[in-house]
Amino acid sequence: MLELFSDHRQGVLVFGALLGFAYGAFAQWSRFCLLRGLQHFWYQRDGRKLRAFALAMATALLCSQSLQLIWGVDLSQSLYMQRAPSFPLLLLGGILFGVGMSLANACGARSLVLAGSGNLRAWVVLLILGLSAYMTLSGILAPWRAELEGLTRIQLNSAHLPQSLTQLGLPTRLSHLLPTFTFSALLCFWALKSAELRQSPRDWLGGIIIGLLIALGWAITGLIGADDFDPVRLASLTFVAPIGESLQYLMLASGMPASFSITLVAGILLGSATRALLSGEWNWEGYSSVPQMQRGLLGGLCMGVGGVLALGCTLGQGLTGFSTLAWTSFPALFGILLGARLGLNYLARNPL
Amino acid sequence: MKGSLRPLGLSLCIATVVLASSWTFAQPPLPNLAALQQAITQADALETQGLNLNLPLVAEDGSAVPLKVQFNAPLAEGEWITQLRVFASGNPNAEVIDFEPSAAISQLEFSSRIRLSESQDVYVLASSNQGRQWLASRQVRVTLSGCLMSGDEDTTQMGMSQPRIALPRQAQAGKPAEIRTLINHPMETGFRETASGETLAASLVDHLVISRAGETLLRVKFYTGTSANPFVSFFLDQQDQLTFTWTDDQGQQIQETR
Repeated sequence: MLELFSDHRQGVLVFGALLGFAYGAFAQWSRFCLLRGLQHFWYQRDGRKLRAFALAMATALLCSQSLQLIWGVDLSQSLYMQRAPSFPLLLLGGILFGVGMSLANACGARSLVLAGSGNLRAWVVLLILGLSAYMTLSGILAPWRAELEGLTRIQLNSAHLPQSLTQLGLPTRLSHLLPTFTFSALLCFWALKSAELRQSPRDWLGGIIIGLLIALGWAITGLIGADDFDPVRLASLTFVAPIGESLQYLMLASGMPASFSITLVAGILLGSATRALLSGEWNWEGYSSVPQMQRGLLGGLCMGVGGVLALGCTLGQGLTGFSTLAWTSFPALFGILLGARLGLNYLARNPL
Repeated sequence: MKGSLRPLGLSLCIATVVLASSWTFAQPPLPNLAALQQAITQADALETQGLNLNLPLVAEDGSAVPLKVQFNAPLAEGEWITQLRVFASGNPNAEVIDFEPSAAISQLEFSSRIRLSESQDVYVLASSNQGRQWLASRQVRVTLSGCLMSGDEDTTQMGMSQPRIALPRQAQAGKPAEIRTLINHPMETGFRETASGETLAASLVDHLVISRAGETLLRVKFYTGTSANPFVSFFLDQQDQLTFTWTDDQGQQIQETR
């Protein structure tokens, strides 16, 4: 099959677009969303969407770790594996991201899916998010970010949980299998004990498929993208930096190569639009008031800055980062949950 | 009054256009770069046509910027390119990489990955065996990016390892085809410090020689501006019985024959 492409990079680009298309279509269909899940769980006692997210976490973890153990995709080459991370910034970034997604009423991944189905609010949030992400990554905020990172970084003995277990004396294989099975079993048990979720295939099936797509992303960059001379950077579904990178690509395409993340973002917009048009769910929507727009813009800004500090969004750290069992994912995910709680509480007390 | 000013405005416009176009057709101003100026033998006869330097406009990872040098200007009978030298004006050491082809190489297209410490102009200077020289340049913006500040582990004990050579998959006889090579090596510059403030000693792969039956086809010289794990790709008409020899600054050698 790979003979169809002129080189491995082109293969990664095409498969990245297909992966994005699949994610866009399935996420549009299942309305997969951590924010909505938390909101329903905390304020409406409806745990289906949150349990669907837990199921996606379990699937992503199980499949990504199998990919590592059976096909040798070295997840320790991914961005989440840092030997000297800055935990305060990861936590702060997570909180900012969580607050931002509550204010904007959707996280980065969800905004992409909504943008594909005619939601103009999501387009505005995406533009601000991409801009502020690159401001923090390489723009005017970058020197401060680097300075803060330098001040707060802590040297760890290991970059991920299995490595720590190995250092405690467990055999390598067991130290991967033990946390993988423990976490997936706990998450699956919690998700599936709810009869409501079991009766809602849109939620449980959506969660499982999205978990599988995470592993597929690792397979595309880690197996198709593997090359002795010019390996593609290992990555899977994540949205903060890729949205910024896509905006940059639109402006600088003559002097910069396309990448997996760019075709992924384009694929999601197309996939979501296709599914929305086919199902008749396409709907033009915009802001109805100035305060709503203020919240959307501020939310996008917080998500862009926070997402870069936390190394990812709800999907990027919650599913993709978590599936590698990297130490950086735990404070980031905790920060996102905490921020979402703060943001949603604020919204509940100050309805528009 | 208004009418009398109009011709003046028009002629000013024309003058600006003429001036601007004469600027673009003139020789590029020579950079103030000692290493490059030393390598230029006849500054007034520098040519620009036919020499291309390919680099991204924006590089997010200054530690490995993909570089491609191509040369296809017409040459006289018995004339060939002996050197293609790459210089980076903003690096602590301006020399980046040198390609020294022999007359046996017909398609002059070389790729590698280089280090750029900041936004700057990169130059390539080509010289022929008859003393003609070409110069091309390109500006690259290097941005600060996260996730790239890899740890400060001491790499000075790591020597060369794992040489890799990829011959073209479907080569047609007599047609130039691309050969890619890579060797693992940290290419320690001697500028880097550990967390405790000690300077790490320089350790470099010095050069790579590609030869057939004792005859050198291509020599590539590496400097601190060459990325870790030096990668070189080039084109050859005939791809058999090749010997690849990497030599590091300690005189250690690794040899592979294909």
